[in-house]
Amino acid sequence: MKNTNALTFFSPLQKNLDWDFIYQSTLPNLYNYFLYRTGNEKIAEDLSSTTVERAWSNKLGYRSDLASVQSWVFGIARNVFREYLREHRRYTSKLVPLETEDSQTDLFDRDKFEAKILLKRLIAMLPEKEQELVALKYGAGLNNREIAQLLHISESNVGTRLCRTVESLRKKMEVDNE
Amino acid sequence: MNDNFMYSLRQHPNKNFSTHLKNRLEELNQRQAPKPGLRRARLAFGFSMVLVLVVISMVLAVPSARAKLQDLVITIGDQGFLISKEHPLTDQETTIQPVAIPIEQAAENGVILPAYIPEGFDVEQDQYLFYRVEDSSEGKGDWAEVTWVNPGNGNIAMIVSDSASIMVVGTETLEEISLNGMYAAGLYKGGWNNDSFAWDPTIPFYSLVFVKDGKSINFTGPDPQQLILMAESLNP
Repeated sequence: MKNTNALTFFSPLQKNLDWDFIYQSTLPNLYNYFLYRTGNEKIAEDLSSTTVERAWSNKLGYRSDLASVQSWVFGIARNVFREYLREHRRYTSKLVPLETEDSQTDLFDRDKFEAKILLKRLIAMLPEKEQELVALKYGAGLNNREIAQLLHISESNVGTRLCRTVESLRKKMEVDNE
Repeated sequence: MNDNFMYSLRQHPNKNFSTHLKNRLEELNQRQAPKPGLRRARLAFGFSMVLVLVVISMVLAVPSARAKLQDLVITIGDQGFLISKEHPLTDQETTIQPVAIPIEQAAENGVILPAYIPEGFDVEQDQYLFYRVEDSSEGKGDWAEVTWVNPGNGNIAMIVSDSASIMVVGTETLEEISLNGMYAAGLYKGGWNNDSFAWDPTIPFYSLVFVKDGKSINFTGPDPQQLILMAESLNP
């Protein structure tokens, strides 16, 4: 499922934002950002709820002249995730829990299923900054420029680090498949 | 770069979850809509309570020293931090007596208050303190300090200054965070011990420092999450 990023339809200077539409289009990206960060659907739902409710409560404080809606929302999301880490860091391990395999899964699906688990585990083993880049790019669906603004680094730095990370993940996936 | 496989973990949120969340937002809307004066009422209630005090260190680095140590200055957003082992106070230090001003006049004096105040915290004595630097030009260097107190649970302070100054901190655990996705802010724990002149990382206070709309803002308190929420609720 590739991201369509509906929020790009909004101009940063647009005054009357349709918050219902923003909710509808942001939630999948938010949920997937947290899913890439935590590897856990339930936690991703909880953190998405916290973020959406916090953004919704503060929507009158949003300033379109300072940031796009998605930068604003993902700024809040990153703070929510940081709070989650502070509370749970000491209790969590870097390993992603194993999903239970459905015995009815046919061979083709099982291959896909195993590849997903492997990718999830490999992402969880990346350094913190690379995990964040991967989650913002492939989970949140932000482009390199938006990620650069959010992380206060250059766009080229984002591109280089992502490219290096994806290549290394691909090689590890290929090695495992051989 | 073929990165299609990286999207393979994406999935749609559960429909029940998104419907449930949408309903909660509708409830939030209903609670917020009919009460335009709620924020003012909450503040007014807060202003009627009494308080205690908090100590904060916000220091202007001496220009010559700043030049020497420029390579140790970290900039987060528009805020500079000087990582140093040396206590920032100098021989030229002077004591400034603050003027207490009713909190109701904060906005007209350019001191914006956070819309979010953690439960149980109230503005100390319904007033804020204004520190005027006599020899400053055009009021640059003046600062205002608001303190919220919650007996038994520590205090939270906010210092607002018209001019961005370099914060001297003795810790390398300075963390960069984003406020509302719009402002970068520095967060750190601890403070200077003015008796030993050493940095004390065990002081149970966090500082959140950032520059917004040309003003340098420093929140200090025991809970970093509360500071972040307060900072994110600072609206012009």
